Amino acid sequence: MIKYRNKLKEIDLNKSYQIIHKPILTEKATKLSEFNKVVFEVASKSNKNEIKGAIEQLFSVKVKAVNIINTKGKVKRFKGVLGKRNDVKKAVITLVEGNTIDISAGV
Amino acid sequence: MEIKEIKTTGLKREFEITITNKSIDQLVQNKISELAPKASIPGFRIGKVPHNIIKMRFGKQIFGEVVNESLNNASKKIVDDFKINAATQPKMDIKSLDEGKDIKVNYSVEVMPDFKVPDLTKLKITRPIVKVEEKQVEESIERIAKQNSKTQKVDKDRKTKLNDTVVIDFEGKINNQVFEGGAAKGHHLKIGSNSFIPGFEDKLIGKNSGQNFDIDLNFPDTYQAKELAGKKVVFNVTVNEIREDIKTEINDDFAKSLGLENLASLKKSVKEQIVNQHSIQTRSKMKREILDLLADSLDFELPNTLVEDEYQSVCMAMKPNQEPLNVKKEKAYDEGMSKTEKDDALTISKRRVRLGLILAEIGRLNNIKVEEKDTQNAMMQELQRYPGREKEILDYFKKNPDAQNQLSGPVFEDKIIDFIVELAEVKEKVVNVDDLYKEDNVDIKDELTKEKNNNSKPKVLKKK
Repeated sequence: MIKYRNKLKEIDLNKSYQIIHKPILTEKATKLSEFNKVVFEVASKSNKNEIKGAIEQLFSVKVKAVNIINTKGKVKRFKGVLGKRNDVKKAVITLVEGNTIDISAGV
Repeated sequence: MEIKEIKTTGLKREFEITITNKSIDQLVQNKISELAPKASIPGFRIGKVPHNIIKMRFGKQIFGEVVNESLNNASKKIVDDFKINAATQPKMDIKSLDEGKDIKVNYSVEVMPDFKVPDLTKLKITRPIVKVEEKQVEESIERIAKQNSKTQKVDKDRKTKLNDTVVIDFEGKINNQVFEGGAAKGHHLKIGSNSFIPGFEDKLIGKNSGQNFDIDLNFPDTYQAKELAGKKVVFNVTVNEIREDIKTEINDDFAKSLGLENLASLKKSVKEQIVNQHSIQTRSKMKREILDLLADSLDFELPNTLVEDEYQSVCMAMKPNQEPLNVKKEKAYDEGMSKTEKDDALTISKRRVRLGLILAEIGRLNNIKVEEKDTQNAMMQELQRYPGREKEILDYFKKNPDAQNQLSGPVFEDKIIDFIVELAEVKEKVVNVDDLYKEDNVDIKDELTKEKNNNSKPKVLKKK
């Protein structure tokens, strides 16, 4: 039983890395840190629950709420051929008071 | 920043520099505030980048810069505070270098040895003077005449003798096979010039013009062409013509043929040449004497690093034909030398370093400097040695300030020697030519014997 649990955790960790892509470093995102919020780019197929779990696991923090922004990629035309840029899912994570994520420290 | 002297052994002085984390942090912060209004990072407008983002991006770089700067400051401070006259580049040995911790660095430097330059006005040197006599001039003119001598066909029928020049056709055969380079037609050969294999020329004596004959010979075993050495050879020789030397009359015509006006001017120019040669020799002799005197007069401790450097170049010089030092192999430069050889090399290098330091000190005390002009002159001389490639060489010097420095070394030396000659007591002494040119070549072995005999007689340290 214990063995099984360990295995499960391992898979979970890998999944977490797959869900959270990278932090978003912009003026706006930095401003949000005043309100104990951090912004990440996440896998577009993930949902709020998964994101919450992944963040809690990776950074060992408590997450209060997850807000999601879906940004559709632009359609671009190159030599008459239509192409589409990737869609991006951004997650604004609100942390429970007393928790912080130091982005510069890395995962 | 704290500086502590931890060790002083001989000329070597060691310090420990401690830079506190706090001061480093402060400096890093200053740097970041300097950068902040200018930094452009995607996602931020210029000047709106928060400090922590800058630190994240450029932190390592800034840290490195700050550490470097503060170490330089520390080094400067050590030199100022402890009044260090460094003989070598200081060595910095970083003991701990971590962000967020105090930085500790070991700083070791070798100082210039303390010594007093002897009173130059009391130096006694002799200037050898050589009188150029008429006889010498005539001798050298005769030599020139001999080199320019012409031959004349012998009209009357007579047999060849030594010092004749014969015009021959010959064909050499080994086992009835003509070999390469073994045949020629109309070859001018002076009998007695020994330009052919031994025995060949002897056999040409006593022949008539037009005579055809065979010469049986063996190639010497030590002949340079290995496939011919020691082989039996038959030369078929035909003497076409016998010529004899005409004595060149030394007169105005001869002078004219050399491109001069008359005999008097030829004599004059030859004399000038000889005087010139003598003066170069005189100078170098005086120089050596001065250097010997200087080195004898002083004995002091030498900075190890300099000796080590010199030792390396001496070792290289003692092993001619050595393949250049291969960095990859990490071959020690004194590898393969016996113990005595190593000792010898060490003695020589010590001598050179000592003298180099003395000269440098004299230069410093008396404000002798190499000026732009001097270097230019030296460069011009260098250029003349490579006719046709002046531009190439000039470019090389322009691109490599190091090469220019190398030029200025000898110039500096010469200037100092001149300076000493002016100050010192110069006695003039008439010597004859042979004495002047005796012990002409000072190579390393000579240097060593001198050093052993007198305990100290250096050659000049090459300025690096």
